[in-house]
Amino acid sequence: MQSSRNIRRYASAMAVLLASVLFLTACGSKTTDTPADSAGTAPKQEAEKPKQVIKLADLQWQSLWINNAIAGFIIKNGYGYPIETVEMTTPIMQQALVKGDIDVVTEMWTGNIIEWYKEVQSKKQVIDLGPVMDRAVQGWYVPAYMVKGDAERGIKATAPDLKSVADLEKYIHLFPDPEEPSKGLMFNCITGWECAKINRIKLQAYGLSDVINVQEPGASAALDAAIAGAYKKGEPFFTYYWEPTWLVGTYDMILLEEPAFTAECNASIQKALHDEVAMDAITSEFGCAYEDALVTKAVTPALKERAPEVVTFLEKFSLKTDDLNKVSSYMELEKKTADEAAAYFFKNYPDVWKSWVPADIAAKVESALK
Amino acid sequence: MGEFPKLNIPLAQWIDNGVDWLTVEGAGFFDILSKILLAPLVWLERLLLWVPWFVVILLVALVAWRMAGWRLAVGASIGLFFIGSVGLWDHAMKTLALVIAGTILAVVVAIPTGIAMSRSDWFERMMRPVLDLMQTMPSFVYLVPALMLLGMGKVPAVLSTFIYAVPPAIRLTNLGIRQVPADVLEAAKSFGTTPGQLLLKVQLPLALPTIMAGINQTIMMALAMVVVASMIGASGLGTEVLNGIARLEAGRGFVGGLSIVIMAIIIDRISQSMTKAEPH
Repeated sequence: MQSSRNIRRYASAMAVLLASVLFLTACGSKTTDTPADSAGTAPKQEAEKPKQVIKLADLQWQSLWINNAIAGFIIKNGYGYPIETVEMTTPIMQQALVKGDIDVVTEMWTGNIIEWYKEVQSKKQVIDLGPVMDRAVQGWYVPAYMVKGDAERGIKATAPDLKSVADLEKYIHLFPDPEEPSKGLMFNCITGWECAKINRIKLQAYGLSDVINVQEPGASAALDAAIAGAYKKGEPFFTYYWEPTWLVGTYDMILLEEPAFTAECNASIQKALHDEVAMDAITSEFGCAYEDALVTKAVTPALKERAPEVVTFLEKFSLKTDDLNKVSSYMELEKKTADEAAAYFFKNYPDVWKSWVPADIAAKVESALK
Repeated sequence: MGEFPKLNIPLAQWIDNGVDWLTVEGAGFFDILSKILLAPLVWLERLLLWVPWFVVILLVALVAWRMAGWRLAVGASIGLFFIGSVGLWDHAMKTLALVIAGTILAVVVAIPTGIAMSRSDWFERMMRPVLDLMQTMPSFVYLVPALMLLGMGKVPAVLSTFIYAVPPAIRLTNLGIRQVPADVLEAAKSFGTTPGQLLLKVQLPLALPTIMAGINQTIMMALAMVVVASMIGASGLGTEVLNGIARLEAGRGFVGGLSIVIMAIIIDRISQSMTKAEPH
């Protein structure tokens, strides 16, 4: 998630230039993208009055694939609308949603496009349907066995009092930098992402930069593999990460507490990020948690007109991030498709999804699951 | 119609299980391996970073002048000065440390392996597919297991560099020794040389230009791995390239890439001239 958000942040400037060109290709790919389920509806969809196809944006990251698969399954089998997912990038999604070329975005990461999102809502071009998950966070993690131990694997709790970043200094000997064993080692965010530099700023702010070195992976796969390896060995480690992700769903990790996020602190961090403040002038005022991201669902007003019952469902559609982590983990480790992951969700979390829809719709979904 | 028969060989699953098993059971072994390799690597990097930049440039210019003439000496100095002037000196020295370490490791393994291959047709036949595999298997494929076994950093980077870069040195050592004319060997034998003398005094000296050409190729391939090395946490010029890519800063990536090219040209010309400078 973080990857997409950060890359999108940097990509948006370029993308504005290219958007108009790309938009044409996106439209072109749509027709070839038609999934099998809507094959039954002939090309002349307009001629049929009821149940026009509902199009979901596929923005190419895992939790969104799962959310699309879950929501799509309910829309298709519960409400009887054919569905279609359309691959696109965020800048293209922004245009497509306003033009009504797509109907639903199940994960709108509002943070990076907040100005645009406010504007299109005030112009009544897009309707916001509230959060799709209870928290979307990034921060500093340690494996749970460092704090609680793991009796099954015979791992003793080596850092029982480690709860917040303020406790880190006591425990740096547990995760030493092999190149400089007197210091600790942090697995940093990915080279070139903003979070990589923000983590360095925060280490400085917490007074940890002299005792903790950072190791920076050049790809998120490298970070994942390093964490997976250390976790399987039961070694203590200290890393930056984010959720919802399959990795947090797979490996039990504890998010360390940080001073609460404030606008002033964030403004300081942003200044340091853009080199307006020298690294050695950074004080404790620069240290606070990342802001929780607001991830919501968005639909077009046209959809509300033609399928109000679907919009009512989407309003209620929301998952716990912990559950989403677990479903992502199942998808990743068992090498399943998003549709299979959705089936796993329907089977294991019936109370959750049945609370989103009326009983008759739930019954239809249930029978489609068999 | 005409669908390929599905045999369902769970090869990927076996490999995953194998890597998991090695990660847990081999932790002690890989820990020691990691420590052994890391110590000289860190030492070499600190040395290169400690030596003042102008001393490095002078030394390189001196070697270039002795080996290849004043043109290369001037060109190399300008090139290195450029790398420093765009603020990438430390990155370049880290990359140089990695390339040197990878090359030394490769040569230490390649020469004996190449000699063994030249003496046994059976061993040569065995090694050929192994070398093909090392040269053509996309390096990203073995990065994930390397990271799980060794963690992030210089050690998996130098081992990946080694795997990718060692084959040409092995192949050309083998080839060079096999190409020593039979009549020369016969003449040497008729003087009563022992097999050891034959190898050290006749075969290796005659094969040296070919071996050096192989080592030159190995160095070039080691340099080609620097971006991949940075992906797994070994910082250097590759980090700049990755930064450029991640932030869509084409210029930054290009400057990093250009610095890699400059280093490659300097190292290539110097090591090539070593090939030519060794008449048997």
